[in-house]
Amino acid sequence: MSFSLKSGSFRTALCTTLVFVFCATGCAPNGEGGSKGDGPELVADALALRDANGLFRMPEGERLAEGDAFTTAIYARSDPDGKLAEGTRGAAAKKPVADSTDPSLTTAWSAAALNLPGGQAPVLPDKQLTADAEVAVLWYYADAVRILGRSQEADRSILDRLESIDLGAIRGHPYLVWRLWDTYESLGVPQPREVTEVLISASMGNLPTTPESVFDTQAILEISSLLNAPPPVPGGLAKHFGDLLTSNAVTEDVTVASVLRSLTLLGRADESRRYLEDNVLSKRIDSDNGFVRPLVSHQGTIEGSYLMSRLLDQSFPEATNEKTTETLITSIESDSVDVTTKLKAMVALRRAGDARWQDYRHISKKVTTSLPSAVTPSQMVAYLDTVDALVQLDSSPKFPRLEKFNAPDINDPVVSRQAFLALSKASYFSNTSEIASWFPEQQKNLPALVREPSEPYLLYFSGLAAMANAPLSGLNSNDFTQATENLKDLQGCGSLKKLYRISTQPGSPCSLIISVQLMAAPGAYTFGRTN
Amino acid sequence: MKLKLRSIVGASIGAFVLSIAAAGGANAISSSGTAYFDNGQPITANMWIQSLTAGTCGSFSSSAVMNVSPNYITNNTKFYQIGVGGISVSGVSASQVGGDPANLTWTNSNGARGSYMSGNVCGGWGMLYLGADVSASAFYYGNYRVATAHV
Repeated sequence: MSFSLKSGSFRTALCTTLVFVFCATGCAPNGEGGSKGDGPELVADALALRDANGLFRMPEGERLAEGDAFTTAIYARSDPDGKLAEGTRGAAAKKPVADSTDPSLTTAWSAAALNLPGGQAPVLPDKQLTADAEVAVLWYYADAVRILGRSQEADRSILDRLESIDLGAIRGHPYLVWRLWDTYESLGVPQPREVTEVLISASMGNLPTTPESVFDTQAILEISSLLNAPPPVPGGLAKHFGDLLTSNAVTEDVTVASVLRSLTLLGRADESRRYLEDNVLSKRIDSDNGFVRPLVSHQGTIEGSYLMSRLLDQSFPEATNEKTTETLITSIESDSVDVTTKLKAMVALRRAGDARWQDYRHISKKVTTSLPSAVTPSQMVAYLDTVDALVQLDSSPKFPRLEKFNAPDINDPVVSRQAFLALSKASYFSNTSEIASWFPEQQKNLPALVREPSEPYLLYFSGLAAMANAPLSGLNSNDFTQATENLKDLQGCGSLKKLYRISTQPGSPCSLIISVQLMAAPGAYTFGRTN
Repeated sequence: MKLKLRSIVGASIGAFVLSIAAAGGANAISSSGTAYFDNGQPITANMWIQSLTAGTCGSFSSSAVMNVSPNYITNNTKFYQIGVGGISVSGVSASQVGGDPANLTWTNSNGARGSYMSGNVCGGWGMLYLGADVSASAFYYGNYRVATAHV
């Protein structure tokens, strides 16, 4: 009995052990435990880059813009206390405006507005072709000479140009009329009566929702302030402007500055002040030159969406929404979009799982029938950009021949990249096999080039993309494994886990272009099982 | 009660052994799987392996195959076992994935239409079943597809 009990316990223990062992080694018979490799994290990266318009942003373009004098001056002119101009002056001495190679009127105006050392005297540009452009240059010029105290030096020519402006052409645009009025003011010349009358009669019926209506509202507020009269603007305007700022609905500096100026004119200088403190002075000063960095709007694009669709391929529907397909179709149907971009939008639409891409096959068919019979080296990049999209839509285009070129200098990164591009995309030419025998110097240098990430990185990435189509390189599967093992150091940036960075520097941005290019490098990604 | 438990355990183990025998067939087991590129071109993963018993070795062959020339084609063959002990593979030219001797990969390039592996594989001392997963992947006209086979 006791033996039987022990025997039973032993069997139970053995069974438990076996079940444990089975599970430890055999419960995931797919080897990867059903893993989809990099797929889920690539989808997560894509979702992080999807814009409100449904398209995908390209992270390589999202570096901070360099601070500049013009953006700083725009805000300085809207600053109720002048603190921004004061604060910028010292820091900006690190890079005096006089060093600038930009001789434009706005640079001279910026230097004057910020009272920067070395600022150049404004030079009046030639007469502009349109009334609005003419008003703008005259205003910048006159404002600069007013700030510099040189109004009396302005010659008669500017007055002639002011008087030649067709008031009828700008009558419906209070902002332009106000700028015209203010230009006379800057020059110390009385305004023509009809200019003042147009401004006095201007009013706003609705709350401003476009940049133009924001400027027009400011103009009405400016003239009402000068006349000490109640502005003919709709109720709730101050709150509306405050909401525009807090919701970040305005993404362009000149418009933001106009809103700030209007708030001050509406008696809300404290709000303008707070915005400048919290959003400009504390966040957007470029420590390298002391100027305010301009706002840069990063929006999803067709190019970004196309590249993302190529990368995610059959997983792309997991990252798209209705807005994505709507925006893609709008682009395909737009007359102002070039044909290659239309092809790219069609590819993204197809990869998004929307069968409507077939409604536009006449576009891809037309491109297919118009392919050249030969491609020169200088045409190669543009041709490949188009045909790489085309083959995703048309399975049987007749590829042209690539005309031969040489690339003997392995130290010339431009020529070397061109050679690697030809090798990696040789299948898009009729002379595929012939191309594989070209560029012996470049091919023999590939083992050294792809060994580990190094400068210049764009050449390194091109080499990786070409290494599977370079028979003279001597590279084999073991080399591919080693090369892509080292490549893993470049994967991920910030919250993006699987896109590749443009360099080994930890803070360098990821790149969709490079991430797609590296699909041609065996082992760069571990994609899941799809059948 | 204890007798019943023992009977159930015995029956389960017996059924399991029978299922292995049925799956293993007389001498070998094989499997294949196919995926397709947009233009209809197939990529196929194939696996063939001799039926093995505990502590024995046998032959295997795996492949990733296409009818046309891709940019590259990769055969990733990963062995697994139900049971105890280590798997060893010999006579095959391939790279280990992550240092795992039972996870092998080989990529052919320059227009090759297939990637093939064959050799010997030995199960662990306490092995009840040895199988494998083959993943055939290729990059062709800018697209990546994966086909799998499982035994």
